[in-house]
Amino acid sequence: MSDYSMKNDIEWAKINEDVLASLESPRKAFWVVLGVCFALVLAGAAAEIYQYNNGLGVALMNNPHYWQTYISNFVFWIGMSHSGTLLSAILLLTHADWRKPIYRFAEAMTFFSILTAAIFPIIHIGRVWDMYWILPYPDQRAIWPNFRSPLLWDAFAITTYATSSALFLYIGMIPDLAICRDKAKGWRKKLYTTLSLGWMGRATEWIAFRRTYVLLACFLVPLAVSVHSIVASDFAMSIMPGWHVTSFPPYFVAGALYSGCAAIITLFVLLRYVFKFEAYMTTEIMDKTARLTFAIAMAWNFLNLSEYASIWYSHDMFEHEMLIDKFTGPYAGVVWSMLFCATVVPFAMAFKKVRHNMWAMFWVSLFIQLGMWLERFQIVSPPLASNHEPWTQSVVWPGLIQLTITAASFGWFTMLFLIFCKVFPSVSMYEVKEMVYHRNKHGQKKLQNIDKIKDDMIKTEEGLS
Amino acid sequence: MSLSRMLENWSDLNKQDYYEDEPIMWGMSIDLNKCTGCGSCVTACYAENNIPTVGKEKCGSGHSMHWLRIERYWDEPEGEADLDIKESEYPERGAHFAPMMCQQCNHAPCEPVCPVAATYHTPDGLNAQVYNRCIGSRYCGTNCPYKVRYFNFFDFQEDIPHPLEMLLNPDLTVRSKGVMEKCTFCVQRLRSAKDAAADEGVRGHVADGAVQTACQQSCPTEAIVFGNLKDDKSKVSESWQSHNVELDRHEQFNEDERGYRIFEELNVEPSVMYLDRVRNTEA
Amino acid sequence: MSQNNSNNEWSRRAFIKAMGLTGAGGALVLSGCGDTDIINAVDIEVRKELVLPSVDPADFVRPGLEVYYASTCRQCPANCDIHVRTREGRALKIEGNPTSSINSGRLCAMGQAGLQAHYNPDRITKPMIRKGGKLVEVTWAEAETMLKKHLGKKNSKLAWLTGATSGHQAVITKAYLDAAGSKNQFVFDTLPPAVGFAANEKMFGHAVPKLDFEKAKLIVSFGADFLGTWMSPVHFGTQYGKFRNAPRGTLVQIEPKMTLTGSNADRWIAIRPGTEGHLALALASLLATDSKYAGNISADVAASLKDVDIDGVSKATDVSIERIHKLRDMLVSHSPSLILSGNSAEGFEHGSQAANAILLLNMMLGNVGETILPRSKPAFPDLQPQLGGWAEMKAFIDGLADGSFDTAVVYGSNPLYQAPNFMEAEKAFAKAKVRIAFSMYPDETTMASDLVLPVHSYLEEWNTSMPAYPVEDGHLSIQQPVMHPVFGEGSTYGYGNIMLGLVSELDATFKNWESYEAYVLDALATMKPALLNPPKETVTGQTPEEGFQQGILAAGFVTIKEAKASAIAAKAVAVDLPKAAKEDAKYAYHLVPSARMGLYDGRHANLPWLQELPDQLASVVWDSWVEIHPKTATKLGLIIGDVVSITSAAGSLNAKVVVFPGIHEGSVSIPLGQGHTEYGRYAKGVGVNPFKILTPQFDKDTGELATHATKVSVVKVANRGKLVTRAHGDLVLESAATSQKGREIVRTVSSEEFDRNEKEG
Repeated sequence: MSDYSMKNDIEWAKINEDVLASLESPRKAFWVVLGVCFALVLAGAAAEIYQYNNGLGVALMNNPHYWQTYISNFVFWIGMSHSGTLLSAILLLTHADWRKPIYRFAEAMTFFSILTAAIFPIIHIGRVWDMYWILPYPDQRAIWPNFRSPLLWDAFAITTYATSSALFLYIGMIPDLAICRDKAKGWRKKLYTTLSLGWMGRATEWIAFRRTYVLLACFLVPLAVSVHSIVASDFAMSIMPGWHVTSFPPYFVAGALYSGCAAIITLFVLLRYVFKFEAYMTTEIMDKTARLTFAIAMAWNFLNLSEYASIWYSHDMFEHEMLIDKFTGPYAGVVWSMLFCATVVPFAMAFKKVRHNMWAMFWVSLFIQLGMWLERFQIVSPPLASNHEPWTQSVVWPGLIQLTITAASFGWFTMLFLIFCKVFPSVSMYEVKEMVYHRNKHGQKKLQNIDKIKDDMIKTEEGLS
Repeated sequence: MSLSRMLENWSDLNKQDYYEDEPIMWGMSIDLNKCTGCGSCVTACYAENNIPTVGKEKCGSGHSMHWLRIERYWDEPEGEADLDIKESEYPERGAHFAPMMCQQCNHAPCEPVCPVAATYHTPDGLNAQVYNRCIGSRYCGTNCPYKVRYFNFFDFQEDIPHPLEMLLNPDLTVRSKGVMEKCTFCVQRLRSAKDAAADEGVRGHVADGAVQTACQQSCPTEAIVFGNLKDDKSKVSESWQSHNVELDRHEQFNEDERGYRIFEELNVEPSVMYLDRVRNTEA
Repeated sequence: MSQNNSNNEWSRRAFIKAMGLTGAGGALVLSGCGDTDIINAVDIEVRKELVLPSVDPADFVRPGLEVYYASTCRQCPANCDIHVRTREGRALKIEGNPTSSINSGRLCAMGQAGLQAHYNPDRITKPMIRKGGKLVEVTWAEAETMLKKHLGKKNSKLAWLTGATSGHQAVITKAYLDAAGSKNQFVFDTLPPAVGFAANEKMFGHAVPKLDFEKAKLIVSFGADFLGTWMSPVHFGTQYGKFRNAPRGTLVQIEPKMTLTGSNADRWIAIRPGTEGHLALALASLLATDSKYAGNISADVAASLKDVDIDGVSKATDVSIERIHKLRDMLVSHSPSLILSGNSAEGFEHGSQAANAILLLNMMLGNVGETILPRSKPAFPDLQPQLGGWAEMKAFIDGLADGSFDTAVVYGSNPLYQAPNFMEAEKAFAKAKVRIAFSMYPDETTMASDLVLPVHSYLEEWNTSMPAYPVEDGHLSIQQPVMHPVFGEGSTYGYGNIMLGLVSELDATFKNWESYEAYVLDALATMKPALLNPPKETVTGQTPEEGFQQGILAAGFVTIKEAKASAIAAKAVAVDLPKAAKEDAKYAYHLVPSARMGLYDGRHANLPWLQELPDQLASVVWDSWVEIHPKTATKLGLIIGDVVSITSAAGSLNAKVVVFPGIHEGSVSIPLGQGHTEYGRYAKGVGVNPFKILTPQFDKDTGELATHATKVSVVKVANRGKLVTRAHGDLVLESAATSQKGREIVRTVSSEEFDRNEKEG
């Protein structure tokens, strides 16, 4: 149990050193993973170019399978982005101090997931060169987009969400960028100087900083909920059996948090290993993250089962048939795997032994993510396969192009994320210091309210850099 | 600009039936007693509407573009006339044919979901698809309960070998890669019929029979009737009335009549009425 | 192929002139005046089009104005009358001619696809001569020299094979053969029911009596697919529409494989192939117990019906005894009725006898004179349709094989594709010293010829023709070019024009006409007194001749005055049917080669619209398949998409299985139309041709090939690989293609209810 929680006597200077070291010398695994990701991205780009030149038909979508993995990936990555918001904003507002060593990379995850998700509409639509028509730009002929369409809401929601989460990530990073600026040389010096906006660590700066940060967090939480509700409306607003489900918005939000948490666990383990963050990303934090994930898993499962129940008791012919086809039809394998991965596997987290074993958690989280990816696939494809019109009912599996682009999206995300970790401090130095300071001072007592700490800081007038 | 116009006309826009005062509302009636499933209409539609043939491989991957298809079923839906077929291993009552094209719904599920309003309702009741505006999100296609929207997954028209392209109908466009297309009730014919009527000084009224859709024109048994539903004397309107089928309902109260609309319980208000297939139970 | 523009300019002007003088003005349907020829200034090599018409059109061209020309569809022998929509000088759409008694403004899928036959990218655009074993493109001058060398002389060993022919096309062919001293003219068309024609001839005095569907209360069809391929499907389709009006007629179809007509029947009865005649005879014997029916036929024939064993028939036909009695009751209660005999009943060694038995029912039931009506004696017998049959094809091939013919000419027929393997058509054809093909496409026969002459499509040439099933006697359809030849003047020529050139070499009287167009128009002008209501001039300043010409071209057909038809003197013939054939252990299944509207007999396999038109019942596109009943499939362990080998005593072929409920358990069915080894990009190498493995059996009375008599074995050779291609994707859920799954997509009501409602309505 030596590494269960963070050592309280950790030196502040050591924190800086450790974190800044991550910018310098990662393990070899970093380069290996980065290389693999880059290769995946190249493969994806090739697939997309081929698809662009030949037409979307090469992706093997057809009538009635007009939507497939591009949409399920979109939903998956938007869902993934909820992790950062959850850890940063919600846990910030609920004063959970264990979030501090891991929230930075969670926020980065949010941002990069949105960037990944935003690619999919571009890959998905038929005439990408006209995509800007979705936006309500001023036009001499007064042509507006269709404000009734959930896809339009998507466009608004995603751009807003992407902007705010980028802002949230950036603002939270300013004090750390100042630390980096002070230590860096060469191009990094220039970069950090520009980005740190002349942060000096004065008390007034801290006050303004804290206010902005909490304000953004307050803004981001409802935004995140609305974003995934809107993504859910893409389905819920349609009249397709299996899509036209009132409970989809909360179900999607729960699913988003669920897969987001699982992704945090995966990256937690990965970063801990790659950047040697064992001292900061402790078993205690993993334990708490796992508990949180487990709770969300249960919420998601409840909503999932209640969705089945509401379909079953609706006595609607089309919905019934769709549900039966889901469990017994050609996509049954997907549905049952999803249920295994996302319903059965999380119970492993009920055991302390598992929660405290980093690599066990790594695999559990991967299973959950696989389950959640399959969940998105089974939301899109099986209802299209058993649609209203029996003559068109058919089964289509995503072909090579779709799978390559899906794999590439994982490569793209991980690549961006790793580059971020290499360029920016992926553990929040100032927050960790706060935590250490606080725990040092108050022993095992709960963290007091932030204003009080601020007052303390202002009194000491020393700044933390 | 248009926003201010919108505000000015708010009460207009808010009307239940926005096109109430329009003189024309195109509709169709298909008599399954007469439809033999021969497929003339399908080929006529290909010829009239520049529909590409896609070849064996792409038919196999589900990329065929038939705006009008004929569905063939072997079984009776439950609760139908007792046709004493249970004991036989052969389909002794023949097949069930249903010509299926865009039903030009008045509560079209495809219309509200298009992000760029590329599909919208015209004043004469058509569910129009503006190819130039379409960006290919395919939301309309997934939301169509009849699955009668067809997407250009490839640049099919590029592959037409010379001189086959010479038969393309210049009255309508050929569609390129990335846009959705579907049955238009031969809108080019409707347009020129309206123009011809206007040239004769009759605005907004097309005499019944002055315009035929390509499918209707080719049908040997005259199973397809097309015309203006708002003209009480048109054949199609008479057919709707005599079978007691009303447009703005999701359930018809016509137990004894033959008229029905497919999936009208979804409240999409299709403009195509079907008449029951008939079999002699004594035979 | 490469035409330079100046050449094009010239030919265009010449064409305009020709049209202006003769047809064009008169052919207008829509516009009141004017000539609208245009201008396909297409440079084929660079595939760029000059947009001259829109920029600077000639005086008479109105860009955007559509013009309809009346003409005749030649996609099948039914010869429907059509209107061709043209704009800027291009044929764009073919519609039925609303004034036609044949198709009343309607047109089938094959007729619609005529455009693709006309604009087909695989059309031959230059004459070809076989040099050193290979066909080489040559100039027309060279081809003409060779043509004259071989055909510009008397030759009694000349054999001439055409597809179904009629009108002046038939006349000029015959005139040439007479002049050349050859008696070897053969006509072959796959689907017209030659056996049925012979039976009709024998019993009713005419091969194609008039049939009144509308009057019939009950139609019992023994395999006549009148909605699909039987004689004149569009006409029968319009008749069928009326037949189904209230009070609604009842249709019973009896056949081993469900045809399009069968799928619309009130009762479809699966029967063991080859026993249709036995069933008809059983019905006749049941009817004969009533003197009312027995009295309609001669006493000796009636007597011969007495010893029919109904139980035995039931066993042989697989039709239950109750069903046979029920049929008899229906025949009694529904009068007048109409009993039809079609290909699947007639394609056996006893085919003629079966047809006799079936038609006998009509006589007993008193349908003759009610629903079966007489024809008049034709005023111009030479113009009458010649539909031919397998007997003529066999004579042609046998003659080539034994050396009685040294020169073979083929036009509008494709013996090398159609003939079964056992006829060894390739070998026989190769024996001829000279083989000449008049052809639009590189089909099997054309590619085996020594001289290939590319001919006009039916939308480019002048002609007259008579329908295989005329609705009114004396209906003569007129064909006129609706546009400038697709590949330019001078690359293809009309068959008539070439024939006129040939015949005038041998018979000087034909020198009077400078072109086939002049010949046809002159002939029509000569016929004027013999026509019903010949058109008069309508525009002031027109001469009566011009008015007549304009009138007939605008109408698209003329009707020849015919004498009133005398009543049918029906003659019953005693039927002699063999006992049901024994089971054959090695070849346990009957092969039913089925034809469908679409690919027809294979001539339309090069038209992508028809390849992509799903089979009406199996819904397969671009492929061949084997239909097998679900029970048989279970027995043989087959599922949809499995590849099976179908073997007869004469050959074997492989195709994919479609498990299909509408087929007799003891039969398998392969559709006609595919299996081309040549015939252009759309047809070559697609599917199989079931005719190839037919065994040598012939109808005993007429010598026609027994197309439905072949027995085969079915062996699985490969598991379900790439599934049979369907119109809606090959990844279809197994159940989806058959079941409505409880949805009310097609609802059904009883005809009782229908009649009641229609009355009220």
